[in-house]
Amino acid sequence: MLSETEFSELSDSLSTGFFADKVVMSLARTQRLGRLQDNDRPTIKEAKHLLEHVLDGVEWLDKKKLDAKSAESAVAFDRAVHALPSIRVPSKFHDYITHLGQILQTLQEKGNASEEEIQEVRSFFFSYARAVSIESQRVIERSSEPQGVMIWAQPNQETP
Amino acid sequence: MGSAQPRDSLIESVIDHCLAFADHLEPLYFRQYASEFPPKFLRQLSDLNEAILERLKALKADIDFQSLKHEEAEQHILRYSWLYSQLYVAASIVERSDVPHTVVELVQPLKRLMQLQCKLKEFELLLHPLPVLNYSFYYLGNDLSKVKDQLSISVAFPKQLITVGFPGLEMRRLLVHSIISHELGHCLYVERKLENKLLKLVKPDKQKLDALVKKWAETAPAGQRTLSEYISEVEIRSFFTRQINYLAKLWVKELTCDAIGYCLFGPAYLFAAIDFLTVAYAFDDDLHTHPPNRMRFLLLYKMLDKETGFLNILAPQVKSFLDSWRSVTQSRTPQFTNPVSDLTGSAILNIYDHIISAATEAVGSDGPYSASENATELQHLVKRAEALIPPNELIKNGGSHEVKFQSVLNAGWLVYLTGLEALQAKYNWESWECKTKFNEIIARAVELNEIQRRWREIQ
Repeated sequence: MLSETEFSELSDSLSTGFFADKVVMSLARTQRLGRLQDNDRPTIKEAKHLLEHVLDGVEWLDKKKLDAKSAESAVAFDRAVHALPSIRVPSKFHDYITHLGQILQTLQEKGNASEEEIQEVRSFFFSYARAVSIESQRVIERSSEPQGVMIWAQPNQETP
Repeated sequence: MGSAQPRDSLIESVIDHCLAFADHLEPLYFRQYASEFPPKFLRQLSDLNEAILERLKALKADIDFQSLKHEEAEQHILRYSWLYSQLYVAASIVERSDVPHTVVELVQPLKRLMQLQCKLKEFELLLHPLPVLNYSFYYLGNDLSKVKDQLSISVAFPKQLITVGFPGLEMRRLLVHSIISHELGHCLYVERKLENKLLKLVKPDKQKLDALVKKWAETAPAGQRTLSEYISEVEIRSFFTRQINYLAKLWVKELTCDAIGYCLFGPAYLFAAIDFLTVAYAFDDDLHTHPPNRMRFLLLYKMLDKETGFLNILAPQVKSFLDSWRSVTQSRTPQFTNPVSDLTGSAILNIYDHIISAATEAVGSDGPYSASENATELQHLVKRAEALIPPNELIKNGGSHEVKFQSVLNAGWLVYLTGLEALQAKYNWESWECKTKFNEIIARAVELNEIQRRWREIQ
């Protein structure tokens, strides 16, 4: 059985994973059709929002203020670190996430960006989705005992 | 299988999960449940399953999906497969919440408490046994909604649907199930958005934190290696950011749920917590998702010690029991074994008054259950319980008056904690036999109390 933390972590990693997949799909469609489709605009806007969360996480140790949002940003930052293992210096990490955000901004404003730039963002979100997938798998692999098999409880025969 | 493309083969395999899931749900409709909700929930699960099935079939013909690289498509399909692990957990909970396997007496009173007193009109509960010696909580409606919203599937799960697991082998130990009030607290914590109110009040020592990060990342003297040679500076920052945020989020939530548990059930929650938690975790264990017991009992005793009217009616054995655990709890301030727990835990200790105040507001406009205000009622109920008469009502002016559900539990604990020696001697019972029979009396009292309340409402 999963603990409550694990169950909610699984929901979180699955929903974030489906979201990251959606970003990859939207970017693939933009590359295929040569232009951002109106249906994909909300996804791209959300993707930019996620990158802002990552940046908040990168900067958290400078402010050290806890709140509900900081907990989300901390998770987003951690996932982004796993998605970009080759960047080891905080300032470079910050710059790269900012750069990805700018590409999304251009996409939103102009409906397009260079093939190379779109591919860069697509690769990041694929890696981000993979980091989240690892979280889902970790939770599922921990819950190995049988479920739905009633061998541990004595049936309550007295109650109608 | 026979599909030409590997990705179609992946889709076919997940479709098999869907079909197997549908088969699994079918017989569950015919079981007997403690409320009318589980069959409705089964239908919602079934609708979700249908929607996923349609989605998967559509992917096969989706030109954008087919244009993805193999690893991108694979990752997406795998996620559907992992989603079924979660749906299996949900179905297995329904499977185990049927009448023979749940503490059926508690389901309606707990629903009533949350729907009427706490004003969570959509509150639903699945109470199920666990194969481990622990209690658990899932915010099932909320968690499933999060995933299906991302998939734009329009099945509406009640957001206030929670599941509470209890130790299956100890199903008949009704008094210890007072722990469940903590689990109800989780639902109120989210519904009342207490995280937004409380987390910002936690202020870890900034200088200590800076020193800690610096120490981990700094250059080592010649010839020695530092952690940063193995882990990048980005990872060190990410580690501290996530750990402190994670621990603060979990510990504040758990402590607030303790405070809500106390507000809902009164001292019965503290009694159950002492009985259960002290043998589940070492008293100063700070390596867990929950704060150490010492922190939890410091908070609960702070709440108990305001109940002077209640403390004055306690039998010497009960008073002595409470005093002994108060003494252990207050023997020293909490100390932590790792620097992240120390930074976070020390900061949380400073916001106990805010936690109690938030919990008090969270339980609704009727306010918390007060053992002091109900002290006279409790004294009468204790007399009934000592005579093995279910303590579900008071006889006044020749008529029967049902008492608060929480008073039944508190009166039960007040007798239970005297050691039940008088009952053992009177009926020549062994200690465990006596405890078991006494728990049965309290279970009957809870059941009768609920029947009386319903009867009155119908009248």
